Amino acid sequence: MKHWLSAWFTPIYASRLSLIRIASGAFMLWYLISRYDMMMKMVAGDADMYQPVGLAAFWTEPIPVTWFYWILNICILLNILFIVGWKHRFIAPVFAIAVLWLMCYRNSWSMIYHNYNILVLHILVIAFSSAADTLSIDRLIRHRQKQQSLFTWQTGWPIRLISVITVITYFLSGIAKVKGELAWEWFTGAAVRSQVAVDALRKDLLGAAATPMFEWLYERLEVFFIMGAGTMIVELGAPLALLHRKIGMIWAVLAILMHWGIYFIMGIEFPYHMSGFIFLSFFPVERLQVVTTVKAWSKDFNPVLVPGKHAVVLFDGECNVCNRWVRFIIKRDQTGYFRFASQQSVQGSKLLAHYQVDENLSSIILIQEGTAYMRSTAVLRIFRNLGTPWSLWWMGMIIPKIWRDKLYDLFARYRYTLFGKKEFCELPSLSTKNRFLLAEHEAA
Amino acid sequence: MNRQTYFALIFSIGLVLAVSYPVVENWKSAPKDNFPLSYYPMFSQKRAENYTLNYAVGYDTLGHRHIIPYQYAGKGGMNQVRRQINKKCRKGEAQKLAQKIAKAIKKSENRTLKQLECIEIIRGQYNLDDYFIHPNPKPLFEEQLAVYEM
Repeated sequence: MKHWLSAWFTPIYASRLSLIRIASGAFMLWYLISRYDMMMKMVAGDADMYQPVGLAAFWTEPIPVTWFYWILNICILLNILFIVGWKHRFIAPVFAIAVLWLMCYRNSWSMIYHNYNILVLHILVIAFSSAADTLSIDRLIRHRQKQQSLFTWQTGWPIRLISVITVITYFLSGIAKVKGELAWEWFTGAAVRSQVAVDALRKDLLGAAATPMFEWLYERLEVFFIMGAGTMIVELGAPLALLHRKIGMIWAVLAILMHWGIYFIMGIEFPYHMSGFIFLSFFPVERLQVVTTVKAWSKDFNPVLVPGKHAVVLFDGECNVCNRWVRFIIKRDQTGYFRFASQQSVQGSKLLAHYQVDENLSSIILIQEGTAYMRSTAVLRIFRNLGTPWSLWWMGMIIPKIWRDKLYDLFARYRYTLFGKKEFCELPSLSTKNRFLLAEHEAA
Repeated sequence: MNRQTYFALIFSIGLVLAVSYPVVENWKSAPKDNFPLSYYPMFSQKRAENYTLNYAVGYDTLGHRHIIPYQYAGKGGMNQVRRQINKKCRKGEAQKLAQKIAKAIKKSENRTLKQLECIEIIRGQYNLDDYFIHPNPKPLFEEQLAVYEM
């Protein structure tokens, strides 16, 4: 239980949550604006078609069109504020509930669409997580007042929750197919073929845009077999995506491909899914932000740091063993790949803030190719770049991270006792000075 | 654990249970879908070899038959309008529907449809293999539910 709780609350970069907030908010805004006229016409239509679902079930009769007009417009305004992150802690929950009601009402007119359930649920999670405002107007204002931590327990669970509910929706979809009348026919492709055929017939007789690929495909049973079996693997195999980060990413790519397949064959669009926005929680999207800003930020750093060509090791400048470790690396790093900064230095602090990592003196931190690695992973990655025989330590990656880190933590806890502590950060010698990231006054 | 972590935990467990709960609909005799908590029943219904559908057609002065696009029959996407048509037909309001379509066509800019002489609401049944494999598919049967002279 303790392990589960610890895993659930393990931090993830807060900027990932913010990027998901911006992406889902932008998607919802696009939806509301592009469907504005259609929704207004729909709610002004035949009241007999009204079959309330979800939150709209509290209204047994349709609301006046003017009310809907105002709710829709207020929702659009709140949506914009949600994207830019203004008063996130207040605006976001209000927006989430407003948009939940609006989408329930929109789906109360004789047909429930399954394309946007998950978008509404994602917005709900983001709205109730206080850490989703890293990239926001709120943050800009607060930044001037006080530097806030961006790598805390609050940053991990909402991203995990988004991934879990995404996976559940796919899994439920798979169960409905297997439990439905078609059952395992989905694996043979017969089911998908009949579904696609019915959809194509409807389009034909109701004058909707046809899917040109369908007639070509209809007699190719093997394509339907691949599609049917693929759909079942993606849907019933969805829970596997939660087991490991990489499995999650592979699953997400397969799911995106499945939706594009549905689009090409049936012409049914799942825009939130096809765009991949639905799966952002599975990918380290925060790296995009790092890559785009690293060049601008690198101007602040010592010119010895060339982004992409160097990795930076951030260490505890007061720890004897850490200083010895730095000397060990310098001696063996013939190409000068590694650059160094103590976590307590000006440049070290800037890098920590930039990569949204809290100062953590009990861990060495490696910044490599736009990602910050900590504890045992950082050490093994450093060894990897030190040439043979040291690079053989990289094989240590096969040991589960949780065990490696436990060993690392044990060592880190007793490092001062075993190896002692300095009263102040040691400055580099003249011969190694060019390997350290120094602020101007330190370099002088 | 402090109060905030308890909130996060309860919120997480609550939402996961709420999103998972609709799975029980699969075992109900009359399952009911909802939004946003759905059991995602799309594509789970078995399709027979023959498929029956309600749709609208029109005839011009030369007797040529034209399919009338769903946009003239209702509001929303194709499947949404299809359900609206079915509902009207079930309630015996096919005539009213044909009249509504005629009115929408008159208002429109579509020259071809404006030349139609009458609108019919049809219930037709098609064999799927026949429809997609043969070049000139014919319905297995067509039943005229309503006719409206333009």
